[in-house]
Amino acid sequence: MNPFEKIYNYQIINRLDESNAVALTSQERAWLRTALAHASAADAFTPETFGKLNRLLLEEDFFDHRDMIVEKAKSKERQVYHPLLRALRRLIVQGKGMRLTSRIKRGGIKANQPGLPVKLEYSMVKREWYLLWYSSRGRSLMATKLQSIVSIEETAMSPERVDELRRKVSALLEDRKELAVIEVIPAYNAELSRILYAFSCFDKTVGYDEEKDLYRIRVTYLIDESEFLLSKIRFLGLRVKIVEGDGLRRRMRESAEKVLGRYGVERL
Amino acid sequence: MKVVARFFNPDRTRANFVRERVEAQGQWGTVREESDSTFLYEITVNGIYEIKPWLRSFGSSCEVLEPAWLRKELISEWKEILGYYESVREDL
Repeated sequence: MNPFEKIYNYQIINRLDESNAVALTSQERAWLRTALAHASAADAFTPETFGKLNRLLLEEDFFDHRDMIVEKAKSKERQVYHPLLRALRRLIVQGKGMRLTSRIKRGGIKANQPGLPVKLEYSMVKREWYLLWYSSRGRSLMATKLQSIVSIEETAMSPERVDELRRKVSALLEDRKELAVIEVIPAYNAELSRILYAFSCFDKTVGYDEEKDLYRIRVTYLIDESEFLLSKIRFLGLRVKIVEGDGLRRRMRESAEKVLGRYGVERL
Repeated sequence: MKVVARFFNPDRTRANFVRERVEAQGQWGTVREESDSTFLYEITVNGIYEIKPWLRSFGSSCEVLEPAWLRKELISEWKEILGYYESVREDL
């Protein structure tokens, strides 16, 4: 691309920006049309938006990959979209309080719990949507499956109170954060991208020590996610080794001993 | 190639997350009951490149029964993994 073309493109993009327009390629439009054909799509948008998008894309090619691509290593899809996502997302964005009625584990219902919805999270372990919220009665951070929510009622909350509770939540989440350092065994360096893919759900940074030809992955995770992290480390087997994180190292040793016990191997 | 593995149900918890995960991710494999605490999983695959890490990710909740060579491979891998963490013992 020559410099004049670049300047020209830049101007066009600026214009579009100023007029609040987004340019989509035909491929992106075809994908969007395919996404709208998904069974969950009707729940994911308001009827107006859903109808409008469908009308706009009527002329587009329908890229039906379902005949061409077979997804073999697929997990059973339990929940892609939950109807409450949209309503809750709005409450969170607008900084509203709520009164939540939900089913509890051992049966029964907990009604009208006041609090602030904080975050929507898709659990990769349970393959389900969760609402993280701060309970003003229990003064604690809660995680409730959207599936268990019976009803939500919007309540007014002052912006100051919303800020205060959000700060509390960040502090609580910060407290639950743990750090692990995982080393890639150099013989497996060629598989680095596969190894990092296994940690794709986690916040991480990767460092490389040139002298030792050693990759180190620093993973930040919440305490309740440690079992999930461990399953990923077991998945990778000999490729990685936890070098920092005493709790995780201990759990890996216990696992290895217990597995060998299952196989009837005597302690060496 | 036929792969057979025994899975152990978790003892303490109400939810059987082992069974749930095997059923959700186990592809075309089949599950059959074995005892109160275990079930068997059987699948025919072309290679073990994908299934081996998956079976290993279950840790002590999974024991590979067949083929014998895969069982042996996993035993020797777990021995090496134990070696990675042997030093943890002294810190306790």
